[in-house]
Amino acid sequence: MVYNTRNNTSGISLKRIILLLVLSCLSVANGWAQDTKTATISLSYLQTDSTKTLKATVLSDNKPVKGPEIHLYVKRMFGMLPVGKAVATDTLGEALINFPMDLPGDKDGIINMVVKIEKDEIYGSVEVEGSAKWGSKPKGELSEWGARSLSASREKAPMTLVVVSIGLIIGVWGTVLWLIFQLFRIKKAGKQIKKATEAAI
Amino acid sequence: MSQHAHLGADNIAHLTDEEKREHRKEIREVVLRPLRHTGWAGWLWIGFLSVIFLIGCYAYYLQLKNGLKVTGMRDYASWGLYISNFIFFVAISLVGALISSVLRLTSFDWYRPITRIAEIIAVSGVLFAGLIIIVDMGRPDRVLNLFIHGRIQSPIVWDVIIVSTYLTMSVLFLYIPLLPGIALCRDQLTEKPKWQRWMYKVLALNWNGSHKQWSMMKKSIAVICVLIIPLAISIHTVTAWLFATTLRPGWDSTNFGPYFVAGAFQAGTACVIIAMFAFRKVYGLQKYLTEVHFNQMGKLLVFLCLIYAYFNLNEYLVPAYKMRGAEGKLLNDLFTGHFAPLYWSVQIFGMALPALLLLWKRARKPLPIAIIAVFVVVAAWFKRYLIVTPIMLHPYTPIQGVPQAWTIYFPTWIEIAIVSASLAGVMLIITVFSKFFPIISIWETLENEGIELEEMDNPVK
Repeated sequence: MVYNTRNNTSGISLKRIILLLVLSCLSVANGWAQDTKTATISLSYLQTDSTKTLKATVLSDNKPVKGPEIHLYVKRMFGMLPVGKAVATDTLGEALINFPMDLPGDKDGIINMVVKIEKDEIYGSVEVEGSAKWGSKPKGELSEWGARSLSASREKAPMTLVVVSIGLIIGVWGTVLWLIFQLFRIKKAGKQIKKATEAAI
Repeated sequence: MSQHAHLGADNIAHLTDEEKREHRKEIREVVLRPLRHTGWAGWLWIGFLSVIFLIGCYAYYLQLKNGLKVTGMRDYASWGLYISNFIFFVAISLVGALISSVLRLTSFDWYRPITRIAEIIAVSGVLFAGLIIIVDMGRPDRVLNLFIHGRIQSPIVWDVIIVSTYLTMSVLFLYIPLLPGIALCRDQLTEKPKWQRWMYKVLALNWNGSHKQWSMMKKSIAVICVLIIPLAISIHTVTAWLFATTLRPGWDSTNFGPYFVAGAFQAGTACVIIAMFAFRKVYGLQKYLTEVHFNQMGKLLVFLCLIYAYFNLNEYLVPAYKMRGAEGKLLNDLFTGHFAPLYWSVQIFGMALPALLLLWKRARKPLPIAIIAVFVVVAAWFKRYLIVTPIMLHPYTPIQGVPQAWTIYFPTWIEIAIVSASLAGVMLIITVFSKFFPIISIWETLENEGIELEEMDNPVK
């Protein structure tokens, strides 16, 4: 008896579970579709003599969005460098992030940035790229980017090193070729003597 | 008459033409004897070396299949047994230049019967130095990239260039003075298989000992003699620069080039002494590899041990006086720490004691000096291990956040098998070479005794 009851209950539960799952999915999908909104980020670069501030403005349906956290990254050679802590937007949809004064840029001092809203409950992930001439210009060797140096690529090896190396290689391998040529001459000389001896016999 | 064989030109001058002819015949017979017959001990030796070599080949197959993770090398100890072995092989290869070139140019004559031994050690050493570098590469299929995309600014590219150049020059230095010897094999070893006679015929380059051929050969040898000295010094200096241009305690030294070259001459000379003893004993060459040669090589080894000791003092004592930072930790590890037993054994048994013992003439007799030379060579090998491994484990930036196993290095059986195979390979090349070609340069020995070059190729009935 107990077994049968359980059996019946089990059958009913399965149908209910499937029904509930379908309804839940529809409900979640509907809710998600309703809650997730599109947002845009625009960037402004504010600079005084002693400060550099990035202003990120977040709008959704042309209205300022309050709350989402804005993350700032700077593009480096092998990855993204996070700059400062995330800052939440205010009622105007604006977040102000202080930018460091001493971050190196490329040869012209340009820094490429990425500003993100990361996995926000309402707006999801939003990303925008920008650039500003906010970086310090590299000094010393880096300012000579592309010049011939020991640390440069193979095409940019120092001319003195290239000339000396090639000179040495030609000199030594030229001698090796001369020695191989001598071997041919030795062989030829032996052949001539052999012929002369055979002719004499 | 045979007692005159090694006594030099003054003592042989009084011999009649007939006696000179007999003398030539004798030396040729003695030197060619090992080429005519190989005893069971010879085959056993060749078989033993071949088995070690094949085990190493299998180990390398496993390394190729599974990658360098089968070795004991990790992030910090990224150079280990292979690179130590590479330096050792480059070191012993320098002896060809020392014996055959420096002694030749400085008009020493006693060296003549041992030139070929020195040259074959040089060729086999540098050949396996090149091979062991490829073994150390994680992707040996990319070796050509070193030539195609290599940067001339990199010491690794300099090393690739100089190793291949020195190998070529060493082969020529072995081959060109060997021509009369090959011609002798061609003419005398008529009982050999057809392929071997064909090989002698091709390699002899129609040699018949004419004045013109002697002249061209001697001119070529003179050119190689001059060129091979800077090449030999370059190959080991560049190898030293592979380390010295790296910012690491123990390697950051301006002393490294000459320090390596001095050690190389010492290790190579000891190798030649061992080979001289083995060939003398096994091939019955007592008349040509005499006690005079061992005595002279002993004196040379003392001199080289003292020079090497001087460079060692500079290399260790000066930084030890300061004991600064990471360098101090490294030196403490060498002097009193984990590596101390090996370090002091190498310094005492590989340098100090040999230099001291060989001051006595009795220690310069064949057997004692051969035993001392074995100690020098073994110590020289471990010395290279000490130059590489402890430094890798003592970087300037502390080792942090890595598994404990990465902070130590001990070679796996695969590395030991491959390195053993390379050592066996060098000995195999030397052994097989001596079974095909005269291991003593007959013409140089005879010339030293006052026999005219043109006389040498007169047929010996």
